[in-house]
Amino acid sequence: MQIAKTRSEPSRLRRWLVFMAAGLLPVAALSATTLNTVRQRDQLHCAIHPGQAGMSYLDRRGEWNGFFVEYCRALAAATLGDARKVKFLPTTSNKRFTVLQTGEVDVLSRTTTWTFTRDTGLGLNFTGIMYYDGQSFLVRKATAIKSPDELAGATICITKGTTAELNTADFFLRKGLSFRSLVFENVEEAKIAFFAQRCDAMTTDSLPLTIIRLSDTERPQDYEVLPELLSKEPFGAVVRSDDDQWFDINKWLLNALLAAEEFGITAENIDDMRQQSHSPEIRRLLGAQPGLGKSLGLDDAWAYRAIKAVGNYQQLFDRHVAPLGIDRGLNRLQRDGGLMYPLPFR
Amino acid sequence: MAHARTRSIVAQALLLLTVAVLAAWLINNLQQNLAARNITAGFGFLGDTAGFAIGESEIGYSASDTITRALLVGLINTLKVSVLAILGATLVGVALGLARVSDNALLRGLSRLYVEVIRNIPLLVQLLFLYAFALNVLPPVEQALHPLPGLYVSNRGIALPSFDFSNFAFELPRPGRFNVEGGLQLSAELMTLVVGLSMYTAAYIAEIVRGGIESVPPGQSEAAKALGLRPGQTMRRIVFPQALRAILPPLTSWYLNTVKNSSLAIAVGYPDLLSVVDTIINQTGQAIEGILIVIAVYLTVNLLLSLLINRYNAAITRRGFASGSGAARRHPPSSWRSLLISRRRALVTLGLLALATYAAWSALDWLLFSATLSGNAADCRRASGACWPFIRENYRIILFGTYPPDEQWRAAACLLLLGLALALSFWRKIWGRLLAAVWCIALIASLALMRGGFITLPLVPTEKWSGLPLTLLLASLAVLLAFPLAVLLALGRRSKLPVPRNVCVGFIEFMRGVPLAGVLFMAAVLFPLFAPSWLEIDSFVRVQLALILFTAAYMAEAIRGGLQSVPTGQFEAAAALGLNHRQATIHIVLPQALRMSIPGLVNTSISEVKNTTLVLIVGMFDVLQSTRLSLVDVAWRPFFIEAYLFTATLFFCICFAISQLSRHVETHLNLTRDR
Repeated sequence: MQIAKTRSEPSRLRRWLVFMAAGLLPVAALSATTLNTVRQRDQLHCAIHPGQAGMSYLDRRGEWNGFFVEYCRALAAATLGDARKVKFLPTTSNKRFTVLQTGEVDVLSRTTTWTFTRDTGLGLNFTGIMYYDGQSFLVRKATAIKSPDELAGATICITKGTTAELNTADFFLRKGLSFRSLVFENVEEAKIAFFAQRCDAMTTDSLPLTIIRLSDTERPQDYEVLPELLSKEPFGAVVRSDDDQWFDINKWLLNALLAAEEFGITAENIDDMRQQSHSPEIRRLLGAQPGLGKSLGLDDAWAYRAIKAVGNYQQLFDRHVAPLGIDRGLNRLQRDGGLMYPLPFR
Repeated sequence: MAHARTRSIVAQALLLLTVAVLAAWLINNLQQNLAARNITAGFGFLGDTAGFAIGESEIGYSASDTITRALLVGLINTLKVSVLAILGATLVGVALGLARVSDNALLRGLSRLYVEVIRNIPLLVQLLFLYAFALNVLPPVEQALHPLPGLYVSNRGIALPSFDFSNFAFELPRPGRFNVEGGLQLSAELMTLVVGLSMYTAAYIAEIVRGGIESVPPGQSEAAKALGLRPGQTMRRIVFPQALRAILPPLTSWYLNTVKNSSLAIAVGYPDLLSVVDTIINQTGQAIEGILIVIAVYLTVNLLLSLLINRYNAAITRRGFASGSGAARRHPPSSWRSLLISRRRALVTLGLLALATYAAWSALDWLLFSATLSGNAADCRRASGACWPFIRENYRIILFGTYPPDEQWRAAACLLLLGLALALSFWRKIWGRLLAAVWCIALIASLALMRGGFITLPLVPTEKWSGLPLTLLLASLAVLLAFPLAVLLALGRRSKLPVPRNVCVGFIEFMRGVPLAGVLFMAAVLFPLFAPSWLEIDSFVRVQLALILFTAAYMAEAIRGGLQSVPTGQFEAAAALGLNHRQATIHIVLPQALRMSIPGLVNTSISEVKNTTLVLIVGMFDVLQSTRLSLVDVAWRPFFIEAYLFTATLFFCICFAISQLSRHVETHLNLTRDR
């Protein structure tokens, strides 16, 4: 729909010419970039969490939806002109890097923590921080635990393949305490085990723990997420490190969503803003004034399409995360006292 | 003669070359892909610090130990579960097997019921159900059952006194701040696995034992009776030792299966080898190395186990039973049973009757009298019985999962088509080519319907296919497409030429040695690493391919059994008639062999329906995964029994129908053979 407006006849002709010319070159040259691969198949492949309230879930229509799911829709809108051209691959924590490394997906968008080893050792790049979180423990109030230090000797439910698995081991080693781990393939099973009192505490990032406390028990007042955080957990989209252009597209897409919030651009007012705004930065961002698309291998309206498709960062947050009763906290814009600091579009 | 030999050598050399070129091509792709993705291959990571904790370990282990030690912990856990499950399955299985041939009709009926129910429900469904049951029904640790000093039972497991050899004293478990500490700890996960695997495998062992006992000629027990032996003695000293020779070979393969099935530990949180490797792959990214370790370990364990049992097998066969059980045939219940003391029999019958009545009454009460028939989740929570509104609200998501709701009729039509094909399979008149055509048409039509993208049907991509249609499509396509491959493999394995024989043996033994979870993982994750970069295959197709190859290996063995049972005289007669080897194989031997292997093939089909539940490990939404999806909603979460019961019933109906078909075919074949 939207692409018809933005793709003019000459550019289509040019693309054909490029395409013909490329036919003379070795095939490898054409398929070298992720953007080309995505364009050729006319579909974005995106790995997501197989089920996490607010972040990645099946909605009533049987479609994937959520904070991190919509990021992929925005990416598809920016690169392919249609937010629906995404194939979602629900991926468990322990398969997520492999599917990205093997090229089965183009981007990994779920609660994946940016760490040194992951960024440097797996042939992958983190493209930015979409959500700031930290690891904590969910406990029953009846156990009267106020701090993680009091968990010595406890059984702790963990989800496999997460940083939580390593952080917890690190934490207890550092404190010289012992604990028993009970590791599950996915968070659903860990939850069931925790609420059945199979373990004394459940650990993962504070956000999912809060969601679990609020929406997975009838009596949230009997449970508590310990305020003390074990770790820093910055989440963001991940791409392969062999493609700088694709890395840039993802990095700036996130910034576009944040900048849109800063500028007050929403999915609803975007057309007016595009036509009426006098701010050069807004005009550049929305493609009313050319220049910001070419270096990414995209047209100038990429950010316009992405924001139009999913809204700005605040709209995403309000749609998926806020209804769960979660405060924006560190994820506020820097001007509102948070850590989100959109980079300048110039 | 010389000409034929040259031709066979050239053909074999060509085959060898093809295999070598294929291998070289795959390895070349792998190297390119690894280089392109910045993955460094090698086993150097084994010496690194593991960094993660493992809940249960027989040897000391902490997060600061090496990855090698973590692997060792996983291996020991796998062996521990396997040994315990094999012991449990053998005990329960033999008891059930004896019950199956008992002269007490009630006992026979109950054991038959057990066997039928257990065998027709996938193991993974049973394990998940059992674990959910253990967690929710056993008390939490603060209220642990403490019936005897030194014994604690809670939903965390069982704690028993242990013997401390250094102090030469018993160590009693005692309650600690959080857990029961000390003594011998058997975790809920270990118990779930051991009990689940034992109960499942016992159902198969029972049938093997029954078959073995029935293969002993009735004359043996009659002779024993004539010598004045009591029924118990007859069984222990005369019948069972002879039955053992027929029992052992199939028993061996079930022991091997148990080792492989223990890899389902991953689903209930027990840290077995596959689970530990899974963690390692995730934390280090070394997928290929991890999978290689799993394959090597399972192949070695299976090889060692089969060697051990084959030696034992050889030893007891050597103990001089010259006339084999080949002459034996099925016979009516033999007379040793009629000698049971009638009072004892009456007591047993009464006890069983009381037990059966109580169980039936409780079930009925739960299902109907105390159940909530209409209303919502809140009504269900107030009642003690089953929650039927759960099914009403969630059947759609269980059956069709993520298939677009607007297009659901297509998924339903697909179920109808496949169901119709299964129903038509009972119709004897169309057996043969016509039936094969029916299945082909049903499958092609189902695939077309599911996929759409023609006329007015919108395209539904394969990643949205889910629930029961996905399960049935995967299973039936696997069986149908594996069949031709299996015939080739079986013939190849029986070939006198070394190259095709070894290629086939290698493929079959590899596939049968590795757990299906491992094969699926390879297909889903490693396939793209071995494929050239321009080739992109749908994950549905990939998983389907893995299932086909896996099924083909098992079917090939069923067909090989059929081939072996065709008397050599058939070949000789064909040669005498002037048929060459190929003609004789195709027109004379193969048709007979296939008829003989039909029961085996149908059994493989049932396994395939059940095996598809494992695809959830690689992220596909089969009917078991969509069942779990229905339990995500907090309102409905307490009703896991209803959810698993519903899915188990679905599987039971399908598998039971196929096993009835098998029996139907077998009876028909026996009739025509005896005529």
